[in-house]
Amino acid sequence: MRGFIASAISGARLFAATVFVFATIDLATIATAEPAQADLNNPNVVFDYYEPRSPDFAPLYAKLQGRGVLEELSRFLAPIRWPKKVRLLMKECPPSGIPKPEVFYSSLEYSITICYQWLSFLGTFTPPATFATRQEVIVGGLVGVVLNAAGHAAFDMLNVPRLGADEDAADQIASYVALQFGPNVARTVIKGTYYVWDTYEYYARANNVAFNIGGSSSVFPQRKYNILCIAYGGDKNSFQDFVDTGLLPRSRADRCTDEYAQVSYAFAQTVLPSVDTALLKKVQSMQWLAPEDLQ
Amino acid sequence: MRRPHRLAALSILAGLTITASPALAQRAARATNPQIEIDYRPPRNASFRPIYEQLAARKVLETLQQFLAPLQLPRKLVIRVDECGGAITTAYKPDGPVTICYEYIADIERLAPKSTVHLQQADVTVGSAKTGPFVQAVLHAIALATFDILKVPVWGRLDDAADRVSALILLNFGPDVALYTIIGTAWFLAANTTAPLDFADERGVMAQRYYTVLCLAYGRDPQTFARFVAANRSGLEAEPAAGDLPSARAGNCRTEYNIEAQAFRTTIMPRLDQALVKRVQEDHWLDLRN
Repeated sequence: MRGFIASAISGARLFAATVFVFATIDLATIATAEPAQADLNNPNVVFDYYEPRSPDFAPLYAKLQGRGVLEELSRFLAPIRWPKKVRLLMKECPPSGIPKPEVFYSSLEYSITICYQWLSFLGTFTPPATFATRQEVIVGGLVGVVLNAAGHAAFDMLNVPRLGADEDAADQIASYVALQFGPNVARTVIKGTYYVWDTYEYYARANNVAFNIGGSSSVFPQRKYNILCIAYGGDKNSFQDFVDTGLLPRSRADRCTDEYAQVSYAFAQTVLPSVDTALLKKVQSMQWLAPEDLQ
Repeated sequence: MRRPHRLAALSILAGLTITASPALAQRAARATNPQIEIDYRPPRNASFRPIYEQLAARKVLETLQQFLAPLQLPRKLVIRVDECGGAITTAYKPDGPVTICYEYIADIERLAPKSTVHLQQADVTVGSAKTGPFVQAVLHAIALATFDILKVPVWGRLDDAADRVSALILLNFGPDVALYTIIGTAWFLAANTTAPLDFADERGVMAQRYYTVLCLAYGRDPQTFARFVAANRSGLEAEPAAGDLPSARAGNCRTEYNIEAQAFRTTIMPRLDQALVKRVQEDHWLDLRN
């Protein structure tokens, strides 16, 4: 399983994201991409791979480090004018005991952490072939969740006002950003993220675990509808099948144009002023997903 | 299907009722908001007639006009009390009026206790159970209108943001008003938690709204709302009870409140007349004697 995820990540491209800029990392063609990426360095974005204590994660650690995944991620974060250093960390995390993605932002240290454990969990995904390939949900799920964490980082570090719940806001910005890189990237990220929440929902229901209604975050099923709605509201053509197949109820779909417009406006007003738009355009103009990534 | 979003109105019997006669005199000197127009629509359903008459007699919308005096709107906003065709309506649609539905008021009346209920966390009086949810719902709808008219950037779900803003406002009129209205709001939301859960809806389910309101209250004033967290109670009462704020949530409520307050200061406060805000905060809007 762990081997699967490692190969899934290294064999093709790893998606990364920034709050506003995101992209896949072409691990296979990193050398050819160097000239363009050199322009994307930001001294306020640093990274570190923590060596895992568990030998189980050693191969994954070596592979990710060898491929320069965090280096790539740091470049994708470059267009943001971070007021302080933001740290990208890959590490083994203590068990949280809470069923949720072990990818998170820490406001104490301005860091975004991706835990090796969660990459292993992604490797367990087995989506129906009619929905997506494993590669799609792994890559898309990872990117979607990293985008969410990057969203938290941006909200905190840029002092973005959030009148609604923090986690909902982070889901919104993640979906919104995913839509800014063309339909292929958008579908991969949205499908993968949808599948992440659908999987957590499945496990909760299968084990009779109540949803955390008392928590500050929307619960798993709500999160999957929320991200789908932003996607459908922003690009009906690319996501019409989600409505046609009932994954997004029509009653909700009718309001999604408004929801997307709300997010788009909030982004333009509160985040875009802190983005180097020239760099953003460079990132947007790159080809991030190749057909083989989605097999 | 979009779930019915009834906007409430004042349990007129309670609501933004004016206090005793000294307060009535004081009311005469209150500023009003010229951009807010009010409209009492007579109900066709005779059963709502008493609500209509009491609202008008107590000048509830006029009071609301005064309460909203600090809000600097670039265009007119109509606040209307009306029948909403049963349960299905919306609180506010872009460019439309804020509609306070007779149906919603009737619901508040129906769910209010007949006499004070003693819960482990707090006493719920008849007055608070009627006033709290009415005021919260009105402020919720006005928040939605404010987002739209003032073009406020909103991150997070719109209705959740409106809930949070309305709670924030209620929490800034001193601990007595906060406790009175929040307890009542919590009672109403809790009473509605038996409704089927629709996770596909763009709004949170009632229980989530309940916990969010309580969390902001606890975050703003952990002393006044201490008993909503089991760990803060002693003896036999320390056992978790229905309606408690989960301890995991409670630990972060101060942060949640601060984020909300900061967002409010950044996005909405600049559109408020600060001198009038101060006057409104110093005034007495609710009769807390039940």
